[in-house]
Amino acid sequence: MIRFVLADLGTRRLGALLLVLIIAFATGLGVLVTLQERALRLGSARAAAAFDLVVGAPGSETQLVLSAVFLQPAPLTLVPGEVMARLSADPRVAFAAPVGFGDFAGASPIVGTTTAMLRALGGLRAGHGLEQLSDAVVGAKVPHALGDTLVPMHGQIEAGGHVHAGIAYHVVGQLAPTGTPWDRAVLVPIQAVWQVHEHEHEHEHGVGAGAADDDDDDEAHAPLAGPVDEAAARRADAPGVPAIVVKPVSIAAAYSLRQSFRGHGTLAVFPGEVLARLYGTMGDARKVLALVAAGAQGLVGAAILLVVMAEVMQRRRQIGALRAFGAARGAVFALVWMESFLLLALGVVAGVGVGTAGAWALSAGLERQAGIALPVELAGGDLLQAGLLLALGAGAALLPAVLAYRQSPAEVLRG
Amino acid sequence: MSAPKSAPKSAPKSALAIRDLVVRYPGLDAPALEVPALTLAAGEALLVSGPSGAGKTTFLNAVTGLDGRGQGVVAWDGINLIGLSEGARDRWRAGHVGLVMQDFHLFPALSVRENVMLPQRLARWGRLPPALRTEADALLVRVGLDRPQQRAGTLSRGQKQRTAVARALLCRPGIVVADEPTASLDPVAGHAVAELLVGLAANLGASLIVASHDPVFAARIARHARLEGGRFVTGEGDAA
Ligand SMILES: Nc1ncnc2c1ncn2[C@@H]1O[C@H](COP(=O)(O)OP(=O)(O)OP(=O)(O)O)[C@@H](O)[C@H]1O
Ligand SMILES: [Mg+2]
Repeated sequence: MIRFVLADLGTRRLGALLLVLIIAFATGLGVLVTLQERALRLGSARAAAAFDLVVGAPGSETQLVLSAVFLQPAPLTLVPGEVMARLSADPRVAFAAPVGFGDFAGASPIVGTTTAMLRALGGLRAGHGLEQLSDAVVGAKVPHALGDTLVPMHGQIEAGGHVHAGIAYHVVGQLAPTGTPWDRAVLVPIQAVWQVHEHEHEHEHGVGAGAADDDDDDEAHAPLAGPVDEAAARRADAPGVPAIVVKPVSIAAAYSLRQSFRGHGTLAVFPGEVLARLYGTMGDARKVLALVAAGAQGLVGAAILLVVMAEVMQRRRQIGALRAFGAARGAVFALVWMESFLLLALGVVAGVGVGTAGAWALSAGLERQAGIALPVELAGGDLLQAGLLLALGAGAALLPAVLAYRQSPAEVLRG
Repeated sequence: MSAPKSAPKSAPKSALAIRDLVVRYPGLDAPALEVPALTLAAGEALLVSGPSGAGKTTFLNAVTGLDGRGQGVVAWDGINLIGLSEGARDRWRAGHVGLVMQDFHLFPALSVRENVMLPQRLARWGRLPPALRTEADALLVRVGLDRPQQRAGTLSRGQKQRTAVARALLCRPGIVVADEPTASLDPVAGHAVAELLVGLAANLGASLIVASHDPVFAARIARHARLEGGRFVTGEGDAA
């Protein structure tokens, strides 16, 4: 029976292949939407894991998180140095690290910070931390090795940036991979960023990509030299920073800190909470996408069913002949059902493969672009859903089978 | 059903008795077939001829139970096909009738042997008796095909019809029915098929009914009935 089904499918393999492909793509679309949305959620949640609390100047909470956690360049209002000082002295704070944006090294953003941040990101896999003002620690995906010299560009090259004359960093350490945009960042002492951009303080703005300030960058800067004085970053008269990453000592401390640093010229957010809110809006978009995918699947399913039914109608003389020769009615029913279901099952299985492969490819592409690792993971629920789809298909395959079952053999003798 | 399935040495003799058979199609005023009485002794051969549209196929559909409509009695050994359910007619036909048609209805992707055994494979669930395969090969040799592994799609037309003859005879039916079996063949191939069909049915002791206007059958089948406008005009009585 199986042999017969396979042989029969073999004779019309082109049509069968097309049907399988169409089913595969329709299924793949749904799988892709589900997996990609999940990957985005998992990936960004993981990226935010090291950032319990972020303090910045009042403004958009989302922008603060996107900048501090995902290193998205944007002109943020600076929080005065006094805030950093207060946080550092607060007993509810395990550590507070500034995040200051300054220039680019190639495509990598240069982020000014302190040693605490290196630890929060998972530590180094090679070299040592920020000891000299000219020291730089590179993320795992920055294409520079220990000992390399980095020349910061004001703005990304693509955006037409230009060099700060006389300024150079030396790569002394490399971060362990984090799967976050920080993998592509170059971390330097915050003091170095301040020194390079000293003359911009009155702008009251953090330095963003392509910010077309008309400061005279060709003017030679004093070269970066001397050891880093970490305590200087915690002084009340230190320059402002766009964002401060805070590690509270406990959950209770986290909530109480957020309370204390909301209002009075500062904004404190839990990145996880902001992301959750973002997913809320994204979730609606996903629902629409999922509905579209389901609609496409339904339409494809109906079309396929029609094609299969038409095929049965077209082959009714052949089916009638089988009956005329003595094939049992139930056997004819089973044959047609098996053939229809086999096509469908092949399509669904291939579709899960196509969808997963697509999600992988998309994730890889996004990872290259945005630096966030987007893990494509199949969950148990997906299996259930695929099973449900198969069950639905098994039900739908009954239709052509019934059609074949009801086919009278009497017409077979009439050409 | 009274279908003896375990390949008997000699086929069960099947005698046909038709009384007051009337078959009407919707939209036709006159009945497409009207047979007041016709009998066929077990093992007897009958050639049915007549112009196109005379009702030959309608007659064959009635005596094979392919079409259950109609009124009257079409009884093989006392079993009246009219009045049996579709499933019951299918089962009866599977056990009693070997069919050969104008179209070969072979599955091109399957081998000659698989085609010959296909009806048996689909008639029952489970495995086929191994003897059936030997029998199929022997039958294929009888009809002049010695490559049972050949794909049916690659056969010549004459070989295809000879495969169909082997398929019809595999389960040693008591009744062999053929509708225009030589109509799509050239004279030489038609000749061979007619020879095989009549010869093998006689060997089996099966009753044979052939609808054809090919003269090759007239020379080989003694009893000849002619249909015109749904009625037999000659030969509808008992064997001469
Ligand atoms: N399903 C049907 N509905 C209506 N009329 C039908 C149907 N089947 C057959 N007929 C009619 O019944 C008559 C007998 O048809 P049948 O097929 O038995 O003729 P035939 O002798 O086999 O002809 P041929 O030699 O061309 O095969 C024809 O007039 C045909 O049009
Ligand atoms: Mg006919």
